[in-house]
Amino acid sequence: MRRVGLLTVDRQMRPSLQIVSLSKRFGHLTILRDISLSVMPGELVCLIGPSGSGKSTLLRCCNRLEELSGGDILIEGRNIYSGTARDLKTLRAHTGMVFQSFNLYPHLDVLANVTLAQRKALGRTRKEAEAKALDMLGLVGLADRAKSYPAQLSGGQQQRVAIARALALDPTLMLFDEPTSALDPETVGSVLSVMRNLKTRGMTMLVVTHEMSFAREAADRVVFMDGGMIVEEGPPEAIFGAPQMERTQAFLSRLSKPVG
Amino acid sequence: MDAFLQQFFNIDILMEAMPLLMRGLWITAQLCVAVVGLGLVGGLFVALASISQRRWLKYPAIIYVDIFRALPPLVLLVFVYSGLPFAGLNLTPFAAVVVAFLLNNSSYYGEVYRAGLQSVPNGQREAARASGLSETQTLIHVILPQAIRNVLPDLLSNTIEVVKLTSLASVVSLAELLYTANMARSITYNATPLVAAALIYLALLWPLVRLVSRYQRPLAI
Repeated sequence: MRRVGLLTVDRQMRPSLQIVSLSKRFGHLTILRDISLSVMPGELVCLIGPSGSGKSTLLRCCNRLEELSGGDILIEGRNIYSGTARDLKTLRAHTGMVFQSFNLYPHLDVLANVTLAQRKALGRTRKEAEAKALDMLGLVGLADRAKSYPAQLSGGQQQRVAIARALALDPTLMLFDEPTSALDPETVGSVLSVMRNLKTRGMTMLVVTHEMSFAREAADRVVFMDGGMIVEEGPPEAIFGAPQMERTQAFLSRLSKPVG
Repeated sequence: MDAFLQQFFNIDILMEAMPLLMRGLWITAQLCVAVVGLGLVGGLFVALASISQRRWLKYPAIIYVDIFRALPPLVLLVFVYSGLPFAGLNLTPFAAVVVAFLLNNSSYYGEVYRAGLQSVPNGQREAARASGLSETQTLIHVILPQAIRNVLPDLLSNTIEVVKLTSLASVVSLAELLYTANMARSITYNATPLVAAALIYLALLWPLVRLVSRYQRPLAI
């Protein structure tokens, strides 16, 4: 359905994710203040910053796992904080979320983990869902583990299953919340390479990460957050090569200094 | 020794009492199915209410659980059977027993379920909700299977208690196993029917008790 005209241009220019002056408070504590951020289709944006800077909370807001104190979030042009429960369900199904602690369902095997939401949220038949699941498991390199249970997999394998589980719902946007922070160093690479592969396939991704080398080499744009605010954003070369803000410089120099 | 065997293990008397005991066992079985079945369902709703975010559900559920766990089941039974008729509510002995024990029982099952529900990490709920499952779907497909698995030994233990509890029904003249055994004893002036009843309870519950012990072996996590 390629049409030339204003509509097509509009579609192409519309951000996948648009965060508009968002703020978030827990009681008197302000977690996020006046955050505005857009992610364009096909873009990989990395959120970096010290722990407690609000990165994860911001990401969780994008799936409405948190309620906002102010501002708006639009996904594909639709406000996710208005609209009915059904709208939210559809929206969540098409926004893939990957958690730090994987959160696979331990009582279900890998195949059932990947088919559950396809069948119950999208209404696919078992056959359709299983075909899709095997496809996605193949994409993350785990097609042969469909009958394993999560406890039988390594952390890296579990996280790849979690990615397959999210991808099986045909998301237009993938949210990653520190996907490699709970992993053994030797399995981090397999997860990152799956994410790089997704990027080459044109997936739109917002990634909270502490893997600076990944952010530097794979991201289109890096956003540095501190104290609940966006301090600086730009292409990775700029953020890592010549950070403009003092706080960014301090953060990055702390990281590069050897411990002790 | 002979007198002892005559009094407690008399085969002739056992044979004579057996049909009566079997009728009692049948009533006991019906009671167990009704009380355990309704208790398992009722307890689940009590548990869901007691962990609800809605205060108008949560607090009544907590008060319900507190009251019916504290009231002795025998007092409750006598009240339901002999007290409620004054309020114009006449229940058959069977119905009275089911109502009284259900009140007691659903609060115990409720506490077990609640522990189970709270043992499932919040990340499970978040992952399910984030993938577009509704609250109910999340509960049925993700939370409950894990919650029940985590408290299966306690659910079984509670069920054993309930089966034993049904013997209290004899006080409202419901002809369950203990009642019929006691009847047979008073007719024959011999304790053998009571011994038989005890052995029947043992035969019913021993496998369950074994099962609980097996489940309760320390789990490697």
